[in-house]
Amino acid sequence: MDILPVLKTGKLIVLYTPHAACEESMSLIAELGLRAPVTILDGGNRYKPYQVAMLIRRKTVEVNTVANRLCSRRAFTCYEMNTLLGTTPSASHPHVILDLLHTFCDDHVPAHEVRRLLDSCLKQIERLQLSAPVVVTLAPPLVPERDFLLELVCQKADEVLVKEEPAPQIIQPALF
Amino acid sequence: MGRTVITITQQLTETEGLLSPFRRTLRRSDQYAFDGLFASARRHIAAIGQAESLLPFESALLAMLLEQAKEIAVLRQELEQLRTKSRVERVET
Amino acid sequence: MNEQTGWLLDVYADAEDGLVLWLFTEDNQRLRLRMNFPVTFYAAGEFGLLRQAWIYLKDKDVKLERITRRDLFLGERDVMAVTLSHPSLLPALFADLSRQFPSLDYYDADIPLSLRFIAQTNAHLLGKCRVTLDGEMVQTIQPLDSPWEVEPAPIPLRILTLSPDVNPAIYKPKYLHVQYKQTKYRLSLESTRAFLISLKSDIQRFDPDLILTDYGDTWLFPQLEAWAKECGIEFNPNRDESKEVLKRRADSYFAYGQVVYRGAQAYLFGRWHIDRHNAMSWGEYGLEGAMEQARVTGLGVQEMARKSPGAGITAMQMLTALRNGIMVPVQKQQVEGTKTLIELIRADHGGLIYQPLIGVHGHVAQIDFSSMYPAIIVKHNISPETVGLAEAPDGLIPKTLRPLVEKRLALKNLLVELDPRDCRAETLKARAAALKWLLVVCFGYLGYKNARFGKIESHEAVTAVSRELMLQAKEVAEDLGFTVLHMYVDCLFVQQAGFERPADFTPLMEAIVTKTGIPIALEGVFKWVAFLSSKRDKRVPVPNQYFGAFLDGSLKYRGIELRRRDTTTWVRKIQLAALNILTQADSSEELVDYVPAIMAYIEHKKRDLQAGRVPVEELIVRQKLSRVLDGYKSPSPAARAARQLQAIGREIAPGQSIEFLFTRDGVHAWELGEPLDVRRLDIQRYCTLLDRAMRTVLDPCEALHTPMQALL
Repeated sequence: MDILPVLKTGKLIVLYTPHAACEESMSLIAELGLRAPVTILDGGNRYKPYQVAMLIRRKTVEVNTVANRLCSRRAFTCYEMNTLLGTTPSASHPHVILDLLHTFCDDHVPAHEVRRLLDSCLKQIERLQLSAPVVVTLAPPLVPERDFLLELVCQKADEVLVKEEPAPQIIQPALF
Repeated sequence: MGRTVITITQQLTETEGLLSPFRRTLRRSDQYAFDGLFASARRHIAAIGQAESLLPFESALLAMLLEQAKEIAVLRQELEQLRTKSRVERVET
Repeated sequence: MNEQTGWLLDVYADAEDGLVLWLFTEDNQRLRLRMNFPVTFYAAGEFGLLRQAWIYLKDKDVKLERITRRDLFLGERDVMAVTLSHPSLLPALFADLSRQFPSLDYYDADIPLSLRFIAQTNAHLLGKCRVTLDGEMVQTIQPLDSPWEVEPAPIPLRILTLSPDVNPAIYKPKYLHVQYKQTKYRLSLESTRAFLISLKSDIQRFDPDLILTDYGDTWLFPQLEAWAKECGIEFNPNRDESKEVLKRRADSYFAYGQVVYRGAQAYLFGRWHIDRHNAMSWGEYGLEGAMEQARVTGLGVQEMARKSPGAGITAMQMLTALRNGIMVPVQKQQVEGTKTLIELIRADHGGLIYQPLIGVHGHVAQIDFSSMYPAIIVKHNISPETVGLAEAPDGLIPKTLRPLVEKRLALKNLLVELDPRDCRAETLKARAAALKWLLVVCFGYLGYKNARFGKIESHEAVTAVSRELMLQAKEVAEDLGFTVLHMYVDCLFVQQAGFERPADFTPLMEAIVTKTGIPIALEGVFKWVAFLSSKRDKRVPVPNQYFGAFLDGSLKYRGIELRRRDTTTWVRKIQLAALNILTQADSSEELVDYVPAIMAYIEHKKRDLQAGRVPVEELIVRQKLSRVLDGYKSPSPAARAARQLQAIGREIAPGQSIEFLFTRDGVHAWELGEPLDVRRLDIQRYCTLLDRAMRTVLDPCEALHTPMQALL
């Protein structure tokens, strides 16, 4: 997945893979951090600080300097995700939102409420897009009833990069 | 509760996993020694955690060196005791 | 004007009477009293929306007002106050309003009524108070004691115990055993009509304050309701006959990192119903504990018996907020502050966990900090709204916890002084255990995502302080010549040649208290203690698995098969017996002398198993289902057993514990009900389980205990 070329201010890029682009997003964050500050909003416990640190180390000895440019906050409920986005100031550096929909699959929050919160989140993302590129990673929703959320997010994207789970190999048993 | 960053124990296991091609290529007897290095690092997980390094494996390597230094000290002491004992025996005969 | 003195048993809302309370008077009456009790909730947010909400509410029967009130994090806030004259109307009105205006912030809209009552009157549940009455109407209430009293006068409750003769989930009960004081008898369930009439008249006759049942939530009360309908008999087990039994559905939810299953529930009015099989920690602290929790939290006894201690801590926080003029948000608004990569790694830690020196060690003292995390919260004033601030006033959480920490300490001290044969000991122990559980969860709730006042930074601050204090304790110990064998979050294991009796360790403990400012206690001195290594690699220590014998011969063990819920009773008994053989050893060197006796014992037990002399119940394995049955790619033994139950029509939910036996061809679910032919048992597998458990005990005894050797 070659993400860097498509990143531009004003654009929303969505990465959709079985594990919310876990590996790819850590590489992306490290790459971006080498050049400029990055804001990370983690909605599904996908942020892997040690892995990012190792990736940075491969490119530079100035690990601390780069690490200090990576600023993150975590959301543990969809309400928190909404508040995080609402309180993230617009800035001219990239924003990476990890596993945006993870907390929206909580079945203790009714569908209409989840819809309302996501609409609010998407409005905030639109605001952030105006001054910097925004990347959102998504994973398949944990419950099929929340599939509609994927659609809502992808509709707003300028580019959706998808990687499907490779189909399980069917091994033919030997005949002899 | 609220913890999202993996523990040092898990990080060490992940690093060990990344090194599995290295380990696999070693002879069986060398693999046992290799595992011993990680076992020594695992004796000091608390210290590695407290070091709060961005690259905990560097602290783990330090822990491995620490255990080796202790092993050397013990061996030195045993050697010295053996030397003293044989000196005493030679004097007595 | 009439005056009554008594204990407050119950508080709830009533559509007609406002607030109902039950008083157990000094002259042994149970009075149903009522009070006018208007309740207020608040809404805040964008001005245009608030105005619309105001207009929406204008024609509902409420009083509206614009005022300012305090949000814990945002400070003084402009809010719309909505007051209803009847508390029972609040839930419906709030549901409606929040549906219409979901993006407003709501406060004080879902506070349990008993808490509001306590905040307003200062009387507390299970507390003594004096009321002046006009008929049934309460004019004044005056509390006569405090929930923080260490030994409140016992309440002479009338308890009726009901239990079926068999587990209704597996077999059909034939009798209901009834017990009231010394009277014991049984009622036949053959004729439901006769049974209902008998039970109804018995309940009326005994007029119990508490109906204690087995399977009351999941079987008895639902069944009584169904039978009453069938037979056309009026049956209302409530003391307040104007109300129906309150029923709640079964539920699976995610808490404390795992799936928890809670069965259906039946609540009574005017009296309590507790189902011993559906009560959270009944085994640990029973009725006294549930009552103590109700006393200090303000939630009813029925609720506290069933709910997790987290609900209790939340209630306490709400009460403190109410008392201090702070609004309780329905949905928390505070989120984490920004952290750099380094700050995240630094902050995201738990307690300090050392890696013990593997092997057996002699004369080791275990020293524990008392309620470490709560004590840190109180001493260092760590609260979600004060964290990061230099000169902060007393925070909400420290204010809430301080009396709880003090009472638990007072109870513990009282127990230490008490003769173990004193009849008060059991009650005091139960109360202390109940309070301990509240304290244990309060730390988690500091950072918990759904905690109203939770903020992860405060949670992280507590663990940071705890790690620092543990390191200080270690330094104090090492300065005094001790070796620190092990540390685990809030306890240390220390050793020094020549230090063998408890008194020898007193100077160390005093030095640690002086340095850290947190109380500490000696758990005991071990004659010998074995720190275990990983089963995968003997050179790797495991932080939370050990066993040892104290000076008085008593055993302590953690993390071994004996403590694990999925271990069979058979293995558990044998491992315990083996450990008890070892307690005879007075030093670490002597342990190996007892190995032959243990080996002989194991062989004997295996022969019992092979000869079919082991009761099948002792071979039951108990495992939890971690997910929905269809979610298993390759089913665990528990999942396979659950599928067998599903095939006979049983409902299975994640979080449920499944009991089964290992058979030669797989598993056999215990609740299938049909007896199993013992020849089908997988003897080999059970022997393997036993061997594994025995290796845990024997390896340390047989190994050389020089730490250096372990490296090779």
